[in-house]
Amino acid sequence: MPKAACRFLVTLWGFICLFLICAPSVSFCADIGNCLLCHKYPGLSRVDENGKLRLLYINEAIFNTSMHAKVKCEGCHPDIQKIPHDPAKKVDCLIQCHIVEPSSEQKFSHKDVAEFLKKSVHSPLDADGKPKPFPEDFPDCKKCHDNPLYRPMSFNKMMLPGISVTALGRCRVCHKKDDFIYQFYNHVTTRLRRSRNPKNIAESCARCHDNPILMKRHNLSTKAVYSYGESFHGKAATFLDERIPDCLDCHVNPGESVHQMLGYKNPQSAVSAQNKGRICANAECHPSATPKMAEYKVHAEFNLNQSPVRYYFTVFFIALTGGTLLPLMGIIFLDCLRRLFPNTVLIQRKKKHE
Amino acid sequence: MKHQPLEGQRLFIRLNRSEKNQHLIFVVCFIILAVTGFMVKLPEEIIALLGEHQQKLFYYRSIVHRVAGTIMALASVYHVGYLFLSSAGRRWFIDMMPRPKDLKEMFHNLMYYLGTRETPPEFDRFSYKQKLEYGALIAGTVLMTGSGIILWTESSWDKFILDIAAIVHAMEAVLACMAIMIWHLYEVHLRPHKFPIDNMWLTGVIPEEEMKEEFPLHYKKIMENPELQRIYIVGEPPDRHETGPRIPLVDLPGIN
Repeated sequence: MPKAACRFLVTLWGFICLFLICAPSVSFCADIGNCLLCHKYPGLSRVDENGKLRLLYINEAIFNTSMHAKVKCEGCHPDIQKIPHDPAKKVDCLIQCHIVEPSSEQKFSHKDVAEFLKKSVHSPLDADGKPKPFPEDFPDCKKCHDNPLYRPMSFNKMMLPGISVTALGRCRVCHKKDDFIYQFYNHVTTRLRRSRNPKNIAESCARCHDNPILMKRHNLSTKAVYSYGESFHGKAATFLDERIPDCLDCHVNPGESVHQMLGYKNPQSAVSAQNKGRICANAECHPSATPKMAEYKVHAEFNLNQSPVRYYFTVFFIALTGGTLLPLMGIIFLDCLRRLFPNTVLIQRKKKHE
Repeated sequence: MKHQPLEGQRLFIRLNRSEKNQHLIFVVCFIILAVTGFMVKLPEEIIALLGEHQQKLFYYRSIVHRVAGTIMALASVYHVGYLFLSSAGRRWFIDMMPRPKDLKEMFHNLMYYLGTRETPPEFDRFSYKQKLEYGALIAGTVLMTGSGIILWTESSWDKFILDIAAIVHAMEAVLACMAIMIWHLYEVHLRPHKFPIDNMWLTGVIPEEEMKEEFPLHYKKIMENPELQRIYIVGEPPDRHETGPRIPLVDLPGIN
C-alpha cells in the first residue's frame, strides 16, 4: 500500500476515534440551547437574594429518566434567551411547552390541572372567588411535585418497578428507534399507576398536614399523616408496600383527577358523611366491608377531645402496665435484697412457747 | 430431656409430659408472635436497611404471625379441654384456684422480705405468684386472641371496634412481653439459686431438696399420702405418670 494511502487511513481512523469519544451519549434530553455546557458541573450553585443556597447542577442521566426528559430547557424557562443568562424566573407549570398533545394535536399545558385545583379544597379562593385566610399556605404545583422520575412496570416481575426486556422485544417488531421505544414504554407503564409510592405521597401531604403552624391556622384537628402512619396501612407503606392505600385513594373519588380533592363537608367529596362508607368497600380493598368500617374517625389520635374512647383505653392500659410491672419489680428487688441478707430480722417476733 | 438425680435423691414431678408440651408450644408461639408483632413498630431507619426485601418481609411477617397466633389459640383450647377432661388437668385446676390463704401468704411473704418474719410462707403446689401469673396468662390470651381475630376479620367490623382492638392488641402485647421478661424470667430462671436457667421446663421434675424449700406444704402432703406419692414422685411404683387426656379419667381422693 502506498505511504500516502496509509497516512490517509490512519488519519481517518484517528478522526473516527475522536468523533466517537467526543460525540454526546444517546439521550432523550432536548438540550438544544446547550444549557448543560455549564449546568453539567456538579457543585454549580449560587446564593440567592434571600441568602438561600441554590444548586444549579443538572444530572443529565437522572434527568433523562424523568417525565420531562423530552421537554426542552427553554420549554420551562422561556425567559432565558442568552448565555450567560440573568437569574431565571420561577417556573410556571401552566405555560405551553413545545410538546404536542397527540389526541388534540395542540401544544401541551398543565392549565387543565389548575382548573381542577381551583375547584378543590386546596384552592386559595373560596366558592365566591374571594381569598381564603392565609392564601399563601395553599399548595401550588411545585409544593407537591418535583420532576418525577419514570417508574416503569415490568409485567413479568409481578408489577415490580423495572423494564420488561421481553416486552421491549415485542415493541421492536414494529418500532425501530430504541429512544422512542424506551420513552414510550416508560411513559405508558409509569402512568398505569402513581409516579410515587404510598410512603412518598404521605410524606408529601405531611409537609402541610403535619405542620402544627398550618394546622392551627386552618383549624385542622388531626395530624393526618401521623395518624395514617400509626395505622396498619401506614405501617405497610413504611415497608414500601405498593398495594396499600395512601391519602389519595381515600380522599379522591375513583376515576377523578387527584387534583380535584374536595373538603369533607362537600357532599360530592369521597370522604363526605354520605360517601365515606363506600371507601373501604372498594372492590380493590375490602369488598365485603360494612359501610360502618369507615364511619368512625379514621385519623383517630391519642387526644381526649378528638377521640375520648381511644384516649381512655390507652390511659387504662398505660396504668395497667405500670400498675402491674412496678409492684412486680418491687417484689423482685425485695427478693434479691432478702437473698443478700438471709438472716436479717428487723422485728423479733415472740415465739409461741415463750 | 432427663434430669439426672443425685444418689439417693428423689425427683418430684412439677409438669407432666402434656403440660411440658403445652408450655413448649406456648414458649415458641409467644416468641414468634412477639418478634413478628413488634416488627410493625420498628423505626424507619432500621426498615430502610432491609432494602428491596422490605415488602416481602412484611408480607411473610403477617402470615407467620397469624399462623403462630392460631397455634397458640388452639393450644389454649386444648388446655381448657385438658383442665376439665383429664384427672391431671382437674388437679391442676383445683390447685391453681385462688384462695384466701394466698392473700395471707402474700402478706407473710412481704413481711419476710421486709425482715419482720424469720421464715417465708409454706407454699402448696402453686404459690400466690404462680397463680397471679397463670391468671394473667389466661386474661392475656383471651384478650390477644379476641382482638387478633377482630383485626384479622377487619372487613366485618366498625372502624371504632378495630381501633379499640388495635390498642388492646398492641398494649397488651407490651404488658405481656414486659411481664415475661421481667417477672417470669426472674422467678423461673434468674433467681440466684436458679441462674442461668432452670431445667424444670424441659425435664418437668425438681429434686427433693428444692421441693422441700420451695413448696414445703405440698411436699408434706405428698409424703403423707401414698396416692400422691405415686403421682408426684419419679420412680414410685407403678412407674407411670399421667400425661393428659390420653389417661383414663380417674378421680383421685385426698387432693387438697
